[in-house]
Amino acid sequence: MAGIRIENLAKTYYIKDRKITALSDINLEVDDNSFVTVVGRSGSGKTTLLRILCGLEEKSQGQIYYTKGEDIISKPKISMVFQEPRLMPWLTVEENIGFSLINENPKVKKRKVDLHLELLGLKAFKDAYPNQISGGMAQRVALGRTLCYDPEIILMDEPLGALDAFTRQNLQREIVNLFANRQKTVIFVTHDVDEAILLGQKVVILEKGSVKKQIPIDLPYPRSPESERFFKYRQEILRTIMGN
Amino acid sequence: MTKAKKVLKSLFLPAAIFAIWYLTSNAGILNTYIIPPPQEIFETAAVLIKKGTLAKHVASSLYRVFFGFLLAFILAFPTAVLIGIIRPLEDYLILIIEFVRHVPPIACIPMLILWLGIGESSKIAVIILAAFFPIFLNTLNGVINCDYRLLEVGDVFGFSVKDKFFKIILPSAIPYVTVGMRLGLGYSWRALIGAELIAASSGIGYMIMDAEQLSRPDIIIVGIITIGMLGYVIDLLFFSLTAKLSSWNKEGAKSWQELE
Ligand SMILES: Nc1ncnc2c1ncn2[C@@H]1O[C@H](COP(=O)(O)OP(=O)(O)OP(=O)(O)O)[C@@H](O)[C@H]1O
Ligand SMILES: [Mg+2]
Repeated sequence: MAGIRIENLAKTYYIKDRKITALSDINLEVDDNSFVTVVGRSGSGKTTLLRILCGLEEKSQGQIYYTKGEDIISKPKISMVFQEPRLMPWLTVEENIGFSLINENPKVKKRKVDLHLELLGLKAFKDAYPNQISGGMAQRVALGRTLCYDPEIILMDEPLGALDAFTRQNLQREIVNLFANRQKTVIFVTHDVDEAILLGQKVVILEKGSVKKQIPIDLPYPRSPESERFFKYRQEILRTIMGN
Repeated sequence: MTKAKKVLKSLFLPAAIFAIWYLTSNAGILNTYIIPPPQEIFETAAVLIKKGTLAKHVASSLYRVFFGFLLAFILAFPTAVLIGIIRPLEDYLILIIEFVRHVPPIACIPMLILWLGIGESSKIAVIILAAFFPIFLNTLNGVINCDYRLLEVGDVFGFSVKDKFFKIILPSAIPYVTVGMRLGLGYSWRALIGAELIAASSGIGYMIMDAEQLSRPDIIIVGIITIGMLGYVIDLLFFSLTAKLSSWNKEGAKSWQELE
């Protein structure tokens, strides 16, 4: 279990001699075992933030601390679910789920894989290859693979972005169920405002590489997009993003 | 059903050629001294098979191909992997690779005979020269073209360099490697026959050469047919053995013969 404290984080890219500020002056606190969603327009730096957090990208400036209560701890197990499933095409669904467990005892591995196949409703497809399953199914496998790795912090970059509305709704519901009773810290990036409110205990709005606003969502799970308060949150977030 | 049809269709042209060959030579249109009639070829083949001559030559050719091919693989595969992973090495090797790759193995045979004699080692060397580059270049291509997005998956699961190599780079290169091996096998077969034609005391190439000296075109034709058929059978065999390994990769299968 671990939280994250980000201080003055900045990231600049250079394309030829042109400087691109992807992130600047990010200050953000993500509590232990909390589910935080990040929204923002395309290019606001959402992906860059996640990539820096899981070490795929170097930061240019600032500090990232991992916390446990008030204490600062060393970097915990942290992993990421990408926007595309990124399954290994030569492995079956079952093998993909267990992909991260390379040094695990075979018996333990089998138990963990079976558990996650069950949990994500993939049992019937365990012998299928990635090119034989649907996009929604593939994203489910990707999620199962990361859960199987059992990181303390899970970063998700629009994992449902490429799915149709129905599949999306189902998976949103499943994600709520999966994380409701799990000790995990999650940062979930999306550009769907409803999704952000549906899932997050806190919604972070990014704009042009900075945190524009953080809105705690005080609604019990499972949430319904039809409710009055949901509507108000949506209004507030949309207004913040649109800038009026 | 469709498969049987396919086989039938593929047999059509060879059958037609045999028929025309049979009819024209028996009607006296073809000079049977230059091209003996098919029935004579079959008779010769039957004799060569019965005496065990054909089997002996085939065996020594096959032995050379497999042994040489194995050595080529042992040399080419690790080299390609090494260069694929340590990219700066390529800069040092590029000229040598490009140079040797464009010299046909056959052109080296006189030199090889000078160095290694006309025994087995010069044949094996020719095969290594022929099979090395397809295996090397395709493996290199496979290693280099490993999808960085899959490698990032390894990163987010805390894989070591070794884990990433064995769990991501290598498996994703397998279709390329098998394409390279398949090409290499075909190349070594052709190069070997060339080598046996020039200097050997056994092998199908030698059998053909020997038949020329004895003015036995029938034996030459039996030799040629054997070479073609064996080459095809080896390729089919290799393909069916490795198809499962790369069945997940449809693009890889398509890309065969694009390289080298
Ligand atoms: N590797 C890179 N090189 C140069 N610039 C980059 C690189 N990666 C991202 N950027 C720039 O950083 C900015 C933020 O990009 P990022 O991908 O984080 O946005 P995003 O919020 O994830 O957008 P989207 O919703 O479209 O995924 C963009 O202006 C982008 O062009
Ligand atoms: Mg993004």
